[in-house]
Amino acid sequence: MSTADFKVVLLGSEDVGKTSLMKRYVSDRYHSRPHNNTIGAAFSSKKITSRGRDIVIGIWDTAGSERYYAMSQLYYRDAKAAVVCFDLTERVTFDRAKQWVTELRNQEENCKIFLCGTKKDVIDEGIKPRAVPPEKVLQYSKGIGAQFLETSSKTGENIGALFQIVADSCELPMQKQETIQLQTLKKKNNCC
Amino acid sequence: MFTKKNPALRIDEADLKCKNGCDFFGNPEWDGYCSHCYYKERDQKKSPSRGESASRGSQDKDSPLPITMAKRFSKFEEKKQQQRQQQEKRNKFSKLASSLRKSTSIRDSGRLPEPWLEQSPEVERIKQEYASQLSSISPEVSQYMNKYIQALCRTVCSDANNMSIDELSEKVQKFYQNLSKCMDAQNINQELKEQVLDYCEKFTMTILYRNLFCPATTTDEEKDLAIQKRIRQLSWVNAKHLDCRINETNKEVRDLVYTSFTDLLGMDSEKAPQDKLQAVVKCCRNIFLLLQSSVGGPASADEFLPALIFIVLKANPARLKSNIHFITRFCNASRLMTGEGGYYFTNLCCAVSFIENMTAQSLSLPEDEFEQYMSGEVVPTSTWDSSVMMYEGISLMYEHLVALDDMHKRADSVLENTDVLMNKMKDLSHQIKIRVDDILAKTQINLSTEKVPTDIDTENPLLELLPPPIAPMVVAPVTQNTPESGKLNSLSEKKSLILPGITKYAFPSDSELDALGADRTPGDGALPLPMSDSQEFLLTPSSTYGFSALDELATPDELCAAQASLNFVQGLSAVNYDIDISDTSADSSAGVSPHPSILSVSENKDGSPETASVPATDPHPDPDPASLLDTSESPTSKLLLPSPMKPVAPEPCSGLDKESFPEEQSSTPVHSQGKLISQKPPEVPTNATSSNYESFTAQGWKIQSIPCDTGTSDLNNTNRTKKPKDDPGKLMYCDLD
Repeated sequence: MSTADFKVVLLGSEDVGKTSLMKRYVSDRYHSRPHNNTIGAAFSSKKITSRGRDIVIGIWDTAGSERYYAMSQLYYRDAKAAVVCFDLTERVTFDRAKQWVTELRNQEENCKIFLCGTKKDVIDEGIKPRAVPPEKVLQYSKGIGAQFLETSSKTGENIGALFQIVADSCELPMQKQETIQLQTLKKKNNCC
Repeated sequence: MFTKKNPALRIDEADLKCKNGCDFFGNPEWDGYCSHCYYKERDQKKSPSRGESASRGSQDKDSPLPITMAKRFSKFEEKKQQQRQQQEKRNKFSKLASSLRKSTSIRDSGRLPEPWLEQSPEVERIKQEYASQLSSISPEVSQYMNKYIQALCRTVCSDANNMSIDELSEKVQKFYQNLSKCMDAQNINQELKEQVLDYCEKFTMTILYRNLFCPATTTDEEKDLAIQKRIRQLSWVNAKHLDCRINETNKEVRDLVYTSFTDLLGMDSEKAPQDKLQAVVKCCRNIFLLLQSSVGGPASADEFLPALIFIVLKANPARLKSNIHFITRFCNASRLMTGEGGYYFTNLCCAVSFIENMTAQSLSLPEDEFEQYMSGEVVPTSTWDSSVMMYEGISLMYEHLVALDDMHKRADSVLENTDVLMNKMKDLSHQIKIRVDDILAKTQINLSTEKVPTDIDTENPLLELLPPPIAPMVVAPVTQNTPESGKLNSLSEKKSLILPGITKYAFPSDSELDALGADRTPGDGALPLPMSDSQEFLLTPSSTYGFSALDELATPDELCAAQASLNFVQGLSAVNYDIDISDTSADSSAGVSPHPSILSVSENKDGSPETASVPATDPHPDPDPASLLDTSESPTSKLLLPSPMKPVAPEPCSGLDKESFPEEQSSTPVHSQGKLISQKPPEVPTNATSSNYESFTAQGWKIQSIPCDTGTSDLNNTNRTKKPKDDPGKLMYCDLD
């Protein structure tokens, strides 16, 4: 049983590319062939170096289907970070993402939220027009205090950066604790 | 450690408001009430008079009126029973707790009480399991560890009944955190720390299992029953309803489905929370495996969750809720919240939650259809049972298809091989043909295939033309110049005289042919055989060979040829019919010698030179009947010709020949001969009797001369020799020679 230092949950509507995002990040593949050691692509843990420390993040994929929407709070419970994904070419998915953000804000105050616009390559290649204007998303993300990144699982663009930011921002509370410990030590010294 | 959060916050739906609508938060453990309302509710239930109204107020609030009194009463009874059970449980626990309390003093001494350990052999097992890891930690840490464990056990055992399950859970979680902190302070490496934590968790939880698992203070048991009932109600739900991509026809997948069932059911039998969690993980991994073979790649959460729901629905594990609660409360939170186990466990919780809240919408079914299924009015055609039956049929079908494929392949290969074999056979026959043609071309044998089988009994008019074999009686047997082959030659000569054609083919060796030729060319004068001899010779082959040899013949051609030769012989003898054999017989009788045929043979040998000089007056060699010769040319003649030895054996035949006319021999031999020949074929097999022997002996000696020559059948010879001794006719012949 693999353990992780903290959990990052992927949220988003069906077919926005949550699983692809995770696969891309974990195995650096897009159309991932069945790995010998990967039996499922629902939970993955990956070691990442953040601020000079090796940490293991556990990434939780969720079922995006509408019928399981009610259970999503079970998934993001105690999550350190939530990556809310939406399809840049589908306006509806962005609206759904907003719902999730609101929910998260209400349920898990300590959970850091990251907005992730997926399928950037589709727009870059001109297959589909952009449905969500980036200014709007940026405005929204600023409003909720979340970071926004546009990614492409196909090309791997911004994928590593996304998780690096996630790891860096989640590492902060731990550092605070360390400083607290140091302070207590100092106190001890004073006592002596 | 990142999860130093207060464990109490882990309770899900903690922020749901109280069911009663007061502003406090509700809690699922309190049936969705806030603590205030919950206790109020419970107090109401406790007094039976108010309990009824309370149950009506809380449970039947939403149910449509009017409810029959009986129904209400039964519900009330149920409640009462549940309460009684809980009471009993509580009593049991308090008894246990008190007994434990008594032993606190012992525990204070620094060791766990022995009876406690004896009670649970599992604890011992765990201790042994972790013995190596425990021995590697410093005594300081182990001291801490033991202290913590004892403290925990003590508090839990003593206060199990007084504390709510959440308080207990909090205590246990704090215990984990403290242990972890303690080990962090001791700078124990991460791996060992994990193991020690594992050990502590297992150890304490196994000890406290009875206190903490499904305690009386909770309603876990009722929830277990409720979910079980719910799952039973939903037994009609199948993989299609859940959009679950399980390839049901695959045998491998089916096996994995059953394996995950067992894993999930095995969760209940484990005691330590991490073992339960491990069971869930195993189950989920199997689901991923089966999805992998169904989907054809690593399954994602979108495929996994429906599959898990399906598995939970079909497995319907015992005490599902209790187990889930136990894990949530007492499993190390850090493990539960972050790792893979936590993920799968969360999924399990989701699945259970989905099952509890399943509606027509969540299955994308029309409302009325869902209701019908739920009430059991209608059963979908493809329920699990039917699909299980389908599995059997389909799996059988698949197996059969595989078998058929195999057989098809084999049949194809057989056909191919037969083709190859046929070609080979064709080639072979062709080659053989070529070779035979080659050989035929080389050897230049003209096989006369147009031989017509002739009836033995019919007389060939051509044979009439044959010259009468008169001469033999006049002349002494011819012997070759070559002394070594004297015997053979004499024989061949005899034959050659009578049947030149036959002999010719019978003895293909050049020397003999030459000899024969030599005999024949001067042949006019070289016919030594007495007529009787030649006659005998003719007779014997015809009778004996005619049949014995015929049997041996393989091909119809040969048969024909044999018959033809027979015919020929007959013809010869038929010709003899007109011949005055009396002379020969007279001659032979005149030359009676006391010696048997042997003597004659020996004489033959010795007197070969004499015979050579004998003038050839024999008409035989003149082979007027070319046709006869032709017939004798057939390969069968070869068979017939080794005859000299054979005639010996069938004595009866030869005896028979004469048998018909023993008295007449002297007086009218010709006539008898003719008769004899005509009767020969039919009589041969039957009429051989010893009583007629005399007649045989009269001429039998001539036959014996042949076997003697070849030296093959001594026995026969001896037999004969004895008999002919009495016969004067032979002696006479010898003299003649």
